[in-house]
Amino acid sequence: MTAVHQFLSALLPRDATGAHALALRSAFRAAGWSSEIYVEAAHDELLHEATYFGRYPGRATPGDVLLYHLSTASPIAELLAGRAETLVLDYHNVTPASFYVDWEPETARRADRARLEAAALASRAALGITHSRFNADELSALGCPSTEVIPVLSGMGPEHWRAPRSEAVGSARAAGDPGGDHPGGDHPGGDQRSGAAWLFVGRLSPNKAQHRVVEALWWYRRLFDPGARLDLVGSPVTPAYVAALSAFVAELGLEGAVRLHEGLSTDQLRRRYTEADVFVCLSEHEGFCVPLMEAMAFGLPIVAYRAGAVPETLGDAGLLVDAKRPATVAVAVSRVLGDETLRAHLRRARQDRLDRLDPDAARSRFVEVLAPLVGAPLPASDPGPVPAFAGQDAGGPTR
Amino acid sequence: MTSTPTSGGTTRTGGEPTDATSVAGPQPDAGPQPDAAAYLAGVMAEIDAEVARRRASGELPPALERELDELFLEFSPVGTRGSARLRETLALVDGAAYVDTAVPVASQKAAGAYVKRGIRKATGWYMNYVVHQVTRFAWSVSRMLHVLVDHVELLEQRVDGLRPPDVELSVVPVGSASGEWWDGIVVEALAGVRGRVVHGDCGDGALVEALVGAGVDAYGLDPHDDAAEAAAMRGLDTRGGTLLDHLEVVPDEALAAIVASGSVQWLSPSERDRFIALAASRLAPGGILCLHSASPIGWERTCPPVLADLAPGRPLHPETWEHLGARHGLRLRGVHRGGTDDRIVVGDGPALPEALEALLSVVNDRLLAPGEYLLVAERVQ
Amino acid sequence: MKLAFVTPRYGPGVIGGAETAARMLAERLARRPGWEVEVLTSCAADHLTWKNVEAEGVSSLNGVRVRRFPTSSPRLLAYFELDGRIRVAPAAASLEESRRWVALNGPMCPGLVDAVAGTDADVVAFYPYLFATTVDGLAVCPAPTVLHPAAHDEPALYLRAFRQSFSGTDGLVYHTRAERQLVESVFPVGSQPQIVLGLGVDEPNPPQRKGSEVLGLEGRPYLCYLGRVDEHKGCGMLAEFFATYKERHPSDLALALVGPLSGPAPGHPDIVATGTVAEPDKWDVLRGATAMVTPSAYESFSLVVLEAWTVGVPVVVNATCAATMEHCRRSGGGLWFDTYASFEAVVDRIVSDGGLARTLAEAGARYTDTYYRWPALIDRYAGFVERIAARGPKARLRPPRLANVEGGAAYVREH
Repeated sequence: MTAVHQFLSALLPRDATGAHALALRSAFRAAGWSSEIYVEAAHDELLHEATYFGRYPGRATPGDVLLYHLSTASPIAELLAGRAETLVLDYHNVTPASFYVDWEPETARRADRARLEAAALASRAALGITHSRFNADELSALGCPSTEVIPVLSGMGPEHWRAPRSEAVGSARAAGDPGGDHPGGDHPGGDQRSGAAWLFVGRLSPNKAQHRVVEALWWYRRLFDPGARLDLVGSPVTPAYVAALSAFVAELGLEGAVRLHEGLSTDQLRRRYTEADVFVCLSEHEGFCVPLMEAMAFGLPIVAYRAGAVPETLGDAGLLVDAKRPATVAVAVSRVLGDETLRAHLRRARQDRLDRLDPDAARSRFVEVLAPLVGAPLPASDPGPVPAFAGQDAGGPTR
Repeated sequence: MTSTPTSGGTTRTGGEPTDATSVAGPQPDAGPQPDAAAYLAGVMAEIDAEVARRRASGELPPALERELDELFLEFSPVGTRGSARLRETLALVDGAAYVDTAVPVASQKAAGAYVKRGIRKATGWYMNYVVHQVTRFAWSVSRMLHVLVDHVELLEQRVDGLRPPDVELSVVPVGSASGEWWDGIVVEALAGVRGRVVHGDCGDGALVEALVGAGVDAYGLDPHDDAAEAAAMRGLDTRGGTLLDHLEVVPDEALAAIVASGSVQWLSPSERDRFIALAASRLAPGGILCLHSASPIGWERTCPPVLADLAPGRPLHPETWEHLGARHGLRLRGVHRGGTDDRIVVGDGPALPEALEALLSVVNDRLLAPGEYLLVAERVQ
Repeated sequence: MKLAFVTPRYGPGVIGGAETAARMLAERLARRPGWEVEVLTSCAADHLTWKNVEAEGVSSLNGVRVRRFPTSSPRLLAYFELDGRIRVAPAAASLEESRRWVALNGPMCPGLVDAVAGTDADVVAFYPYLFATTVDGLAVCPAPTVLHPAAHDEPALYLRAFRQSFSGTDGLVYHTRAERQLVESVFPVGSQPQIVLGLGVDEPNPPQRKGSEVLGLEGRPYLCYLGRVDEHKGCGMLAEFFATYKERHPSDLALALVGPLSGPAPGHPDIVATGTVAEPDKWDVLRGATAMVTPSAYESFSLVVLEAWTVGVPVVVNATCAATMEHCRRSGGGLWFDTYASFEAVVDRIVSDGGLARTLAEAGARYTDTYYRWPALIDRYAGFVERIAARGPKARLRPPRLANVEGGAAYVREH
């Protein structure tokens, strides 16, 4: 039986890559392929969903296609480099080490190693799947002969946010129902009434620049709405950054106004999206940014900094700022909340965007693109020498 | 404005040509409709304009924006401060140079704790003495390292610049803008400006005074300490020092305007580069630079000979300042020309022969007089 | 114009450069028509223990309204631990730690900070930078503020906790140009309104007795030192240098150390230690000296140098002290030394060359008259304060108030 197996470093709940992999597995199985997930480590909650990658060699079957989710350094790369099966890379992009260099040298070293592993695997992959042109360009530059751009599958399944298009679906808040959602419709954020709720979803990490969102909130409260609040959803990557962020929030006197959440369930996350008025993303490096897609699905107006793949994912469905100046972001947020013409425009743009990011279509596309490889004959020649990176330390972060 | 080429989908190298339209399926990077992009671009431009307006009105003090940026760095680890890693490593050495006398005392056995504490008390004075010596030693080692770093930095600066010697202050006339043709223009250009305005080489402070009188928050600097002192005695905020040195210690975007006259004309080329870069970054967005200079020809006529010869640099044409400024984001607003006009006018004045004679006399003196000199000097007993 | 001063201590008995200077300014400004001056300060008299000794509440002293607030805790031993650790690398200490140091250094006066937050003064002046009252007061003050840093190149200056005080104040008042240069090199305050003010020198008491008579030196020439006689002020070094000089150049030259003694007097036959003396005697002793010597490397202004010049006496200063060197260089009224050899050469020259001594003293007197007479100085300061008031308070980041450090043993001083 033909098989497409996925490999990833860690399978974690409430994690974009993990959700993507699980969704893909259902898609592959629905296509009639056998599909397992092999990991270096899995969270307790998902232990039953994955197998330790070291077991794969004992279970390998000729004709297997191996799909590796590449976003961090992992011994899986070494294993896959030495195997003859058809290799497909799902390149989620590796955050450049430069973002971590001053915060967590260890994480920076890992990032460098991950880049080396990506370079080594790119040239031996039959296909590189990415979720943005931005990533595809990087992967091609690393030597991947062929790339395909397909949107990421979100952990929020269709039942959560895909619904018949309708304008101005009744306000969940007005109805007093916190669990409601606004598929593509307009989120009734209203104008600059007191207590605008800002939201950003993403790991707490220097490249996601949550501290810049905090700065922008400070200006917004000073210029427009002293009651504005911010919810930051995401688990910490570097403890130093979280400590600095919390101290910064305290220093600015925003302790009551800024809340950090981690480990939210899907329902809790959905609630954050439905209760928010605006989504603000000032991240400095993104390969796709699933939360942007989710924010659009929940009908949130978006203000985002133009970096990485953010413009591709967002398109016209939000305001893109070219400078990170917090004051500009604050004025943009006030505009987006108060200007009805703009809101209507963004509403229409969101519809378009979501169509293009349609998860059903994405799922089909994955299957379509992999089908020629599944069941294809093995490459005739020897897979080549094991790439040089194996067993070698990256030797320190690059600047 | 927005992103990316319209051909989404597969890229293959060296293989079959692809037809974008035959590749069905969702693409996150398809191009936007032109009018949508234009509309959003318009909105962003309006947002930028509003930010600029709020800055100009004082609601968004740039100094505060900077402080906010720098505040976050206060909480970040030492390394994020950017350049000068040498200094940061020193800070780590400094931090390790302290020795703590308090020996940890807790022990599994109660008796053990008592014994340890007893020893500590009894030998405490001795430990303190030893630690004091060690700490002082460590402190002096780290001080020595600081001295070394200072020297290295100084050497780097010297090598960088290979600066020509500064021209002596005694050779530089003290500037005064009062009664000059250009001080009124500066006052008009800066009327209504909100924020701090500095006049470099303010001399007797006349222009600073005029600006203050026009409601501008102006202060001045002059390399002649006594001139600056005298102006300060009159109640002006003037200080001794050069504009270039001062701009080094001013934070980014802290100034609403800079007026530069005097020594800005004869900065050495590398100092001039440094000046224009600093001026641009220390000005708040929308800030104004007024620069008074002799033209190259005018310099020949009006500058004291010793200064003209010894100064490390020469005045530039205004086009050159424009060119240099453009590299750092300074956009030219206008050039005003002035100064004493000695032109000989032919026509409604003296008759042609007299005019020609006057002209000839000037040309003779300036260009055709004997072009060599012999200098004789004697050593004083 | 209503001006409020905030200082950690205040009063005629207080010995401390900054607090004394604040009092001199306050009392003279209070005499200005149209001016109202009040001082917000603590009930403590001793800056090492912060023990409340003065009565809480409002009183009046020489035309100045004085409001005293109790300190909320005495100095704790924890201060010394933290200080020892931080002082080696002050810039590397975290913001939180440096804030803790400021709170431990004190004085913590919540009542005073509340009063500043609710002040109706047109301008509030804070003096000096180092204390919790200044840091908290500057953060909460609604009116325009002026900071008199009285800064030295000391480890505390580099603590992060002080950055917001300096960048958030509306105006800076320095004692010397050297202080301004120091502060501008540490904090980004170059473009802020500033004035180099210094202090004014009083009229000397009229001559009563000969200086050598007061000292019991029977007409012998002498060098004099004025101030607290203390190791930290360089008196030990001065005594040693003088003793060596006397060995190598025997003469009847004596050395007078005039001021409160903090230890036993040096036991040299040619050194006279007077202890504290009355004002008239101090001027008499100064007047009769061949030269006045300031061996300290840590003066922030050194009023005594100006005082010497007003009575026609040249000065000899420690070359490593920026403040006294600035006076000497700007005025041409003094000589300096940085080793024993230069000390010997300078003393020799001044003792033997009366003409030089006179020239130096005259230059110094001219300088003092130009810049450091009270009436002109107060005019300049008043003008500066008025301009600050007119400009209005600038927008500033308001950091949270310092957290009082509780618990732990108090520091107690035995006398």
